[in-house]
Amino acid sequence: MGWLSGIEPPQAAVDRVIAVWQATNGDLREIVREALSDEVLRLCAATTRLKLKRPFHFGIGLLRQLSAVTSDDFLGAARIFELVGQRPYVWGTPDGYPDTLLAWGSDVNGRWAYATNLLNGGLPGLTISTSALTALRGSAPNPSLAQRLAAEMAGGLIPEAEVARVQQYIGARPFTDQVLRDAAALLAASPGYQFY
Amino acid sequence: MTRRSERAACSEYANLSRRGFLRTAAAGAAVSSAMPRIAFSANRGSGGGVQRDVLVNVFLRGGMDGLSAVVPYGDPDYASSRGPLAIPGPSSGNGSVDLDGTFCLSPSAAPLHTPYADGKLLVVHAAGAPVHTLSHFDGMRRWETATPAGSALPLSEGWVSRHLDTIQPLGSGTVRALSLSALLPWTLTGAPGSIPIAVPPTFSFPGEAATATDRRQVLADMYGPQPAPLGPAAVSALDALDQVGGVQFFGYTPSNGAVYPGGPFGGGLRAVATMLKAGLDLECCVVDIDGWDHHVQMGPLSGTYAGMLDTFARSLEAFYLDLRNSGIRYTLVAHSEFGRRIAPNLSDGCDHGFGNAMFLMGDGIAGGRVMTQWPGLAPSSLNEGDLDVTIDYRDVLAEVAERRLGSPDAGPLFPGHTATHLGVTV
Repeated sequence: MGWLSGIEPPQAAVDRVIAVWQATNGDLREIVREALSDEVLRLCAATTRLKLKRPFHFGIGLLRQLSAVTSDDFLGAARIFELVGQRPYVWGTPDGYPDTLLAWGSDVNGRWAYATNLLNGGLPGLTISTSALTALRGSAPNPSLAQRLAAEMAGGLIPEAEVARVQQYIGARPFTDQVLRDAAALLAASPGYQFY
Repeated sequence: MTRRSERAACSEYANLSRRGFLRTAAAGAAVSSAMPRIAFSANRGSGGGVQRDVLVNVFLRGGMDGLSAVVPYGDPDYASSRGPLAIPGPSSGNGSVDLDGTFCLSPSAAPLHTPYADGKLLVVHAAGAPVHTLSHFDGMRRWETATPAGSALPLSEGWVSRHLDTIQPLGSGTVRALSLSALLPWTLTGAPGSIPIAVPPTFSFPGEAATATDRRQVLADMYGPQPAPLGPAAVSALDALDQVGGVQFFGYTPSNGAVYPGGPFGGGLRAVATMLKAGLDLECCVVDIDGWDHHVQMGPLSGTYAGMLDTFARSLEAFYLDLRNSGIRYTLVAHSEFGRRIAPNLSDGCDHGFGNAMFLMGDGIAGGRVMTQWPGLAPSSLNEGDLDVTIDYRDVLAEVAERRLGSPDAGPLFPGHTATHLGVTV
């Protein structure tokens, strides 16, 4: 189960899978079906800490959330993931990329740089349009801008204190398109955004 | 060259070595810095009352063939067992440099003779890890974490991490160790005050300079309360922006006529020298040179291997000359995860082996010699067809840690191993 879901299952979840194993005389299809069942995943979710997004997850997620547009000089997804520290398909066999906090938690600067440069047109072939950011903002007034962006980008997983700190940055200067971009970049660089 | 060597590498290493791309990855994301630049100084080790070396750890990833770098030409079984890959001794006039009548530096390794002749470079031959693994992945991790021989699973914390955990930092403690890579290697995994910086000369805070100070403060405030590893990593990154970002890399002129080769490795050692001269309180720098998995057409005299060895040797020579008489205390240790087999394969390359050569360099190294308990290359002396390991690399590193790096007791650094000092330091 840990391998399938990447999380350490609680005993109650393990017991459910064991019960299926015993009842089916070890039918692998039924065991996997139970391991990935809604009920087992619910049990796991109740006891599991948030996980650190691996760089691939972080990088591609941000592109999607900000509706990034590519152009002819886009260097390719592989180059993007080099920037954040995880090029696809290059981890040695047999265990694949680790899915642990310790393995990826050392490089926060790479994520900051990626988010900032993405929002500021610093990554060749990738554009975050003003209209996309405006759509993300919706009708939120300036005093609740960070809250709105955080909700859109991370679904409420960024802690209030971090959102408030970004809002403080927004409120300290006249509002411009650049401030909107800075706010989105800071939220993407925040600790809360790194987890899911 | 990298791509050629990857084509000739085994599939496991081909996958691993592509991670080398990650080393230079962050450079692409960097933009010009608003940080002030600081001037050079050469005061490392001269102030504060703390006298210990900075460790420069060079990992030759891929299984570097030490037998083609420090050649045992005097071994009566060498030429016959190596076949077409054998490198003739100095009397052949091929540019090999004799070391002691038994070993010579191959022509491509000849620049290493500069520190060797000054007594500052030591070769430890037939050295290696206690476990005869054929996996790069397993071998690297076990070496870097100093996993005990009897342990089924490798440890998750690097030996240098344990070392830094046990001693006081030289400076503020926020930037104690750098790895010139996109992510920390196992050697530094879990280490306090450690940060990966792929290309130090381009390391800077991104975005508009006008708001950089405010944006940095936002990040500092958000990450300040975070537990490890994110919180400390952020503190190190923000401090490194000032420390590393403040070094004037582009105006740097190496001393004593040193000329660093172009490319990531030469550039990496040049960057390390620049940072040390700028007075950064670094305690460890990890610089890798990978691509040594030469299963096919190794080319020890004029091919791929020779070119890589030339880069390695000229880079070390330049680093030595650059820091000579600078007053900067350092110990450089270069090694690979394992050596290669004695006999060549049918593709004019060599497969994974066991015993290998290690290189140590610095003022505190008892150099100018080849230290070995040479097992010989006769078939009866080999370990499953490989050069045997007669010197445990942990003995070498433990002595360096205690005699040069300020470790009060290297025992905890190498769990399950009782180290013996061999005399690698002065």
